Amino acid sequence: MITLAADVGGTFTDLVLVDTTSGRVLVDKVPSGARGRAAAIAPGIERLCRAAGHTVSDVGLFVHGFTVPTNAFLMRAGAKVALVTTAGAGDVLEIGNQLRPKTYALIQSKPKPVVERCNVVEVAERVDAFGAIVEPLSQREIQRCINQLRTIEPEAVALSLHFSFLAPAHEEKLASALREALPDIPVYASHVVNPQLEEWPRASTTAMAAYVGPVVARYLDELESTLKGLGFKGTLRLMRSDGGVATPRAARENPGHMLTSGLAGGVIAAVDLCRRLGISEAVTIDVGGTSADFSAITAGEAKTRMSRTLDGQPIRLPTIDVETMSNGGGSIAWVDAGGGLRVGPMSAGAVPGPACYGMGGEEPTVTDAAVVLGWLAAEDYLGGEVQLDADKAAEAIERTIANPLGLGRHEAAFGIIRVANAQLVQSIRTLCVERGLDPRRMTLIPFGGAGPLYAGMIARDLGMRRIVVPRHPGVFAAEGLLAADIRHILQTPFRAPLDRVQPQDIEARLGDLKTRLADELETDGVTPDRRAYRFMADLRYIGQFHEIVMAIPDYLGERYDAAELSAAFHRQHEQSYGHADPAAPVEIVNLRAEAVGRLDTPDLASHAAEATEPCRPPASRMVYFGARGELAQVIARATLASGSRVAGPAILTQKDSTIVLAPGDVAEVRVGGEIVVSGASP
Amino acid sequence: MTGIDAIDRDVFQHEVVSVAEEMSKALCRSAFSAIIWDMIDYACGLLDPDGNTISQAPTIPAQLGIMPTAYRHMLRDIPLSDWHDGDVIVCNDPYYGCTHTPDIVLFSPIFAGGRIVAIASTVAHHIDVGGRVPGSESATALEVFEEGLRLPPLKLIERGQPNQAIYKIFARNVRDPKASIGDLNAQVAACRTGERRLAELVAKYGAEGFAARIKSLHDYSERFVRHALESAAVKHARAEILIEDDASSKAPMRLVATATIDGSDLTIDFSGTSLQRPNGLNCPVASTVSMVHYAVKVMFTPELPQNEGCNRPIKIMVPEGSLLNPREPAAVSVRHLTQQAVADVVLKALTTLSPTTASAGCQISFPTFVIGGFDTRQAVTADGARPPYFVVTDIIGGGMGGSARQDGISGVDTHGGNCALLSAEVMETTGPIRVVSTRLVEGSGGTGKHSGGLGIEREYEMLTSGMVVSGYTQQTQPETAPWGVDGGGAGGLASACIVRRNGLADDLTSKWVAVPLEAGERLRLRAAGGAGWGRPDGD
Repeated sequence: MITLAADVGGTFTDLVLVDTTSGRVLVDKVPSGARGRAAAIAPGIERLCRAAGHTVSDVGLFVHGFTVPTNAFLMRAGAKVALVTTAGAGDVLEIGNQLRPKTYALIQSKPKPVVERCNVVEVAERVDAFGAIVEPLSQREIQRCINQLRTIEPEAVALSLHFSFLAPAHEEKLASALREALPDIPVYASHVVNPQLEEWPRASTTAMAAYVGPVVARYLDELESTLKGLGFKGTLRLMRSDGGVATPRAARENPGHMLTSGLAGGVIAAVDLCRRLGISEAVTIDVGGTSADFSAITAGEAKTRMSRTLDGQPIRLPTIDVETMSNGGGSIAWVDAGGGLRVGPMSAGAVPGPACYGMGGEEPTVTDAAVVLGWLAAEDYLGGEVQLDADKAAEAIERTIANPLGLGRHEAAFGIIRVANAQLVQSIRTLCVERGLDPRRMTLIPFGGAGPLYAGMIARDLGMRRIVVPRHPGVFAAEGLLAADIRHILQTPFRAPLDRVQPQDIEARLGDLKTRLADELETDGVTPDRRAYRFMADLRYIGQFHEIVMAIPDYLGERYDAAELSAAFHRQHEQSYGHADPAAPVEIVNLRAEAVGRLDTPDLASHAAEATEPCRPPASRMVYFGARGELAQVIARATLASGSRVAGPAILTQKDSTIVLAPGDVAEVRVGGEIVVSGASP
Repeated sequence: MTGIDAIDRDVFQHEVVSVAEEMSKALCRSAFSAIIWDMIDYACGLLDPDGNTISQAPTIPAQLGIMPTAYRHMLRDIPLSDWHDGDVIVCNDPYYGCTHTPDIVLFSPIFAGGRIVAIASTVAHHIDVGGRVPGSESATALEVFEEGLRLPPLKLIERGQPNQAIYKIFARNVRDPKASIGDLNAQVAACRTGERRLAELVAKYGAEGFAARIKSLHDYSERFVRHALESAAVKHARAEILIEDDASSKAPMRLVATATIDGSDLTIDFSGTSLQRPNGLNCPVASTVSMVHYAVKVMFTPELPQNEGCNRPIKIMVPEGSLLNPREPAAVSVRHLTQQAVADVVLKALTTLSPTTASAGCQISFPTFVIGGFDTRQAVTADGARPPYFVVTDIIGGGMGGSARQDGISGVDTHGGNCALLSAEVMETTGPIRVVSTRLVEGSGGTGKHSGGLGIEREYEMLTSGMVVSGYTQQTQPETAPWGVDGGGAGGLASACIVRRNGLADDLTSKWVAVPLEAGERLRLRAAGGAGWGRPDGD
């Protein structure tokens, strides 16, 4: 079978084609074209299929990952959304949790919500904290709401009423009235999107789903017709934020699940890599031009988190636990008034880009520093497609950094990379400590164009002993799409002390969730032998306000055991926060269920990596790690067969990335084509 | 300098801030109370053995700023030679370097090679430490003895062994011992995190290399601040503001700040400030100092990580016996109102020195309340359970002032605090209080070329009878309103009232204590808006 993956980014679309019978893997990179246009990827798909000796009609499975919803949100180019709230709560998004973004700043701005204040409608109704109706929602209020919405003319409506997760009757009544009166406008109700306590994150999550819903739907319409035009007859799947994939139907119904799907592909690929190489604990880092994304893998699995914040807006839906910071190759270095070296947050972006691009950039960037140090060279950057001007890079660094600080050119350049890395290392440490992990016991998996360039130093600063560089770091995220399974997840509020839970109650609730999930998988066409279910509970000490999401047994098959569940919670609390109180009572707050529909995923490593290019005479150049230069070998990665070993100092080049080996580092090529770097100890 | 170059220092800067942030995460994640978990009313930092701040996690400036003062007081009772590995020192005495009694301060030593190389510190606002009223804060308190348990410097934990006597005394004297002990343990967990991680850094650089880097950090920050102070065009300014008393007197209190730059030294002199009064608004000197440091930082070096070097060029003169340096045993529990006013008056003076980095007056109205009682709601007691005791508190935000560059932001806590708003659904789940509405008040931002941010108004309905509410606010009068700059209008006023069941409103003064409320009655609080900058028609 022919399997195809496309990871549509803001600038480029990465394509990976796998012929599962021959094991051939082809990769390509094409411009993404105008924002949000699915048609732009058609030529790339045709070209790749042709190169593989096939037509698009031979493709059995096409997995598609996209940053369209993420970008629609970040660029604030989503739908015009109206929000309906309980009377008195109309400013819920404007006020949020009232925290000011910066503690120490008199002049600052607050991130803007996705709903304009004038597009909020309040309705008189009230449900209390126990789910009882205090003030019924009248027909008159519903009609008034409809009239107001007709004036606003929204493209989507989000409903979020107080305590709707306990008693959804008012939201249900309102939603069905709106759907009848305004049939062309999609309605998203908070008790469906995010049935959970706390009005701000629930309203925000629902509004965000409404904001990207029409964008996702439009994009999918165009994608499906484009594929049809190409003769595509196979199955289309779309990446979700939680690392699963969705059918086009499910993606349209739950657009909130697509919001950060662009970040998931790389992590899923890393999980697959860990499985193949037997790695259980890893940190992934994807360094691009303007941002760095990182995540932790534990026990061989990607962590999922139940909420995150995007540009100040909370979204409480499961996502792969990826942190993003605006720190990449394009980050600008500068000297502050006290003589301190700073990197970022300003970025040279793609235009004018780093000084070495010679497109008018005057400020030194992290990429310029890498050029001055000899880590990157004109001849091997992006396969020689972009001409790098080393003199411009050196001039920018000398003028703005080296001279003011009284440092040599190479010391200054190395300093820029050290400071940039220190910021990344600080963020990775925080990521680990929040999750109770010790980075020293983990493997670093760098990818993206610049990840392998800086990985050695990052690993050294974190005390990590091993780096694994994937075979195609630049299109790694697209490979990840091929490793994902169909996923659905549901949650329901269920509040009870563990020792007072009635076994039949928890069974009934989980059974209900499971039935709904089975219906979803049935609609997706997943046969029963390919279905798997997992159950989770949000547990906490009674009186506490934060929960640990824990896997729980399938109580449909096993007997509910309060003592066992309680003991497991205390252990997890101890592990996560360093202390536990075994005498304290524990309660359940929410129940969650996840369904996985297994897909046939190609095994990318079933064929040994062989040198695809003949050996060339060894080249070398001066490479700097501080003031001192070392003569380093420069080797094309494609000339290395599995089992090859290279000792640093050395530079390994390939079209989509560059690996830097410091003195003392040893790289070894594995059977699957990955490069393992060891000796990166402090 | 022992070979510490600028890059070594800048990398180290990130490393030490990272340790403080890890402490902060550890504390927050394991805390029991909403006041810490939801309202983020706590702070973590690292000091050198002399008490100089190395780094902080930027949460609550007011708490971060008192750590050095508090630490130096600890040493009077427990000299450093008596601090052992595994010790945790506790104190909350406002007359011993701390702030008000609910803010409990912990210190723990970090050892390397048998020597103390640094100190981990945490401050957390506990929801109650006993005393006359739930929450331990009262504007009408006369003496600190009404403000709950006062702990002198003591070893809460000695060589890893908890001192059970302190825990028992503590538990018996606070209204919610379970939450308080839980929060105290969360503070200990944060200290332990700091110890572990900082010890790793010391191991990496060696004790001498570590100390040299700290010195280098402090020197760098000092240079930065001095550079900024030298560039100020105007070198001298005096400002004064009035704040409500309404607890011991109808007459407002006056704060005066005179700022003088001499070379690169800045002196802030509070001469002319009102004398201390028999109420809870007196501000312990540690808090006064802390807020001066805050004001200078936001004005001159907002982007710089805070450490001792930032404060070296600053000299502070506070008359003893004044509102800002009271003599024992004056009550201090609502000192945060006055502390915000310290920031406000210093910023008003500094606005003249550095108009491009300043803003017009911000809200410092801080409307807040505490209600404690038994939750007798039917659904809570349905299966024969005894009505649980509850304490609910909330703080609502207002507007920041406009500036030469842009409008002020709406609905935030300001200056020394940065407390989150409690979720309406969490509040009603926790106790018999329903949030009826939470709105930004139209027109509450002062007019101007750049207008002030809007204040929040929140209305709370009592769901059971027999409740008692205490609370306070500021900036309720034209003479205490946020001040405009260059023709900008004043910020909208704060207010508090009780709406009776017949819909009539009874206005409250700016401080109210133990007001009884019946089911169906409502408390309505409104925060001040920020003031405007420049004439509305100006350019």
